[in-house]
Amino acid sequence: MADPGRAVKPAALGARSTLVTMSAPDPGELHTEIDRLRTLVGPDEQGYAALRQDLLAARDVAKGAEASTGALRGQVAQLHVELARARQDQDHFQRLVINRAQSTVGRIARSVRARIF
Amino acid sequence: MLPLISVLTPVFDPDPAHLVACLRSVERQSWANWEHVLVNDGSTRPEVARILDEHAAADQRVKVVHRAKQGGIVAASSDALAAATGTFVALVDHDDVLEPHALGAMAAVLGGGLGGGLGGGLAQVAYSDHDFIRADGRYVDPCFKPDFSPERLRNQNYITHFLMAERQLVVDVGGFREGFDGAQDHDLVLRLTEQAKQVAHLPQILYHWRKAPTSVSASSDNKPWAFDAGVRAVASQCERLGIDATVERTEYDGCYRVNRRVTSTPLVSVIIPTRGTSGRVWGATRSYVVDAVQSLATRSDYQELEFVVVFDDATPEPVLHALRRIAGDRLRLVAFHDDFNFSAKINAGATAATGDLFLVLNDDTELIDPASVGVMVAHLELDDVAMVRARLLFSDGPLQHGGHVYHHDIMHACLGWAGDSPGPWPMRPLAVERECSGVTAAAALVRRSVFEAVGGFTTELPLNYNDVDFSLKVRAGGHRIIWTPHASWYHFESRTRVSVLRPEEYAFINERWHYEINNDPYYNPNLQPDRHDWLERPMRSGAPAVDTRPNVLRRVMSKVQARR
Repeated sequence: MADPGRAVKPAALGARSTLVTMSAPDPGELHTEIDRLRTLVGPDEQGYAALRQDLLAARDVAKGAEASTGALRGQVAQLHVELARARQDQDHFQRLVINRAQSTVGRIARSVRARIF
Repeated sequence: MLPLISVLTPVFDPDPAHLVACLRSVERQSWANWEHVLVNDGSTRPEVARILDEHAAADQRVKVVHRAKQGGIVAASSDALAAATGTFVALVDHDDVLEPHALGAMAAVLGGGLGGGLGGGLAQVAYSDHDFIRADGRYVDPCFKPDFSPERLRNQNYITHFLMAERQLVVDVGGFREGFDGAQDHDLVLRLTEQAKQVAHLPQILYHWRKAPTSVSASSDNKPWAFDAGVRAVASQCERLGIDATVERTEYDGCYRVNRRVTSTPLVSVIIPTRGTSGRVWGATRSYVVDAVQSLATRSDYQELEFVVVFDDATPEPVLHALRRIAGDRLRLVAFHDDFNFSAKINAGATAATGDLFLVLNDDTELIDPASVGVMVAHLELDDVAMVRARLLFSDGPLQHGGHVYHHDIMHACLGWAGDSPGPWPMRPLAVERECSGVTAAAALVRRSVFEAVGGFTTELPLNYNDVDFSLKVRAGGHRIIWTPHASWYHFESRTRVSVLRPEEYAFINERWHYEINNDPYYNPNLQPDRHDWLERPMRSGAPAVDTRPNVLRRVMSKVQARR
């Protein structure tokens, strides 16, 4: 737990930041808050609780559905690596073959030219 | 005079052609001063003894020891070590193949008491990258390894081949130990690296490991007991180093889990910068910071926590009220009145925190594994570990953070891979706890003393790269940073603010850490730049080598080679 003996001086927090002390709540404010919450919940607290349960269940379903998509997304990311590997090897191979072919054609052309002229 | 290198090879019933390939690869070393110590461990194939004897008769640098009966890999390796006389010993299996410059390249980085190796090296132990030889003779699955990574070595024998060390050091640490058959090399390298003044890594493939049908390299089903021996080797190291832990195999063969026990429970200050925003995740609205705190307060096994929430002036009062309700007297609220600056907010939180450890946490997170904080705290019981980072997942499950990779760019390792993936074969970086050059600050546990020593986060980096800078400052202080897959959070990345990349921030980080962000010791220069998924550079993936010699010359050369 926090050591009360190590109270932080606001100045030590750096410019423009202050440690907020937590004072005891005002009973009047609490009553106002209760009224606000009652308005939000409505007359049937059980109905509100059931609604929350429904929300959590719906959230879990959504989470599961997203996870299915995510699993596919993960596979796609991994397949992208395989694809990149295949492509770069193919490019490299082609470069070697084309270079080789170009130099061979050049050599033949030079020798033909030399014989003709 | 070049130092003598003893190549140690225990031999038991190899395919004769493979044995000959191994012998020839040693014979053709460019480093002339070697001896090849072969111990025939009671091979039942008569041609093996004949090949060895013929080879020894033809070259006096080849020493052959015949054991009357099979004693196993440890006994044979010990005999080879006893017969060796070199300054260095190199371990080569009976069917594997060395590159012609393998011994020379390794000798260049090893010191050997010679006042520096030929290449100026001072290391006592060195290892190289390796790949595998498939049945059709092609080289496949290159293992491009990190520089020495002790945590990873506990979790996985990533070094395997090719290993070379001072012979005296090998003898001093006790050589090959009985009881570790199948993982005797892992056991040895763990002990060697504990004692070595320096461990060098050569990022070159100097060794080709044959995928023989009976080898672990071909299938882990071949020697399942080898991994049990590996568990014992790692447990033995934990005992030597005073790490209070149990060791177990994981679902990935060759990867171990070191379950550390938390021996003390220091207060962890969870520092969370926030502006109290809400958003929709999994179809429901959540208040990010409230749910982040709630997940830790209610789910974490480790409860020596205080929550230091650094909030902007715009933070709604109900959010602060909810935080008070959840965290009670464990909450410290710090009001932040300036423009958004992640670094300044973390520093303000650190000043207000009272714990010895700081868990720097983004507000758009949710704890997944209840053991996470305990796992991370346990790592910090080793003095040289300063920071530990968890696995972060996107809300739909793929990996958001598997440690940073600094390889000509600043990246998250294996971003977007499946959350439960072990990572790319054969290194499997996501299945093991390992050292990283840097980690994100979205859920990082760091020592207070180190945080203060490096001056906290750099406020010149208000939005981006502040975690990179912080990580590199920590490592520059000689500390290790660990990433663990055994601690995990969801990270609803960039949902609480719009992601903005500022060129001046990259310029700052590039100027301050140019070398570091282009040379990640825990990655490998043979891997493609600007990628984070261990993709090797072209033509290293087992595609056939292109022979550009004319056909006639190729035919002649292959006939000459066949005759030799």
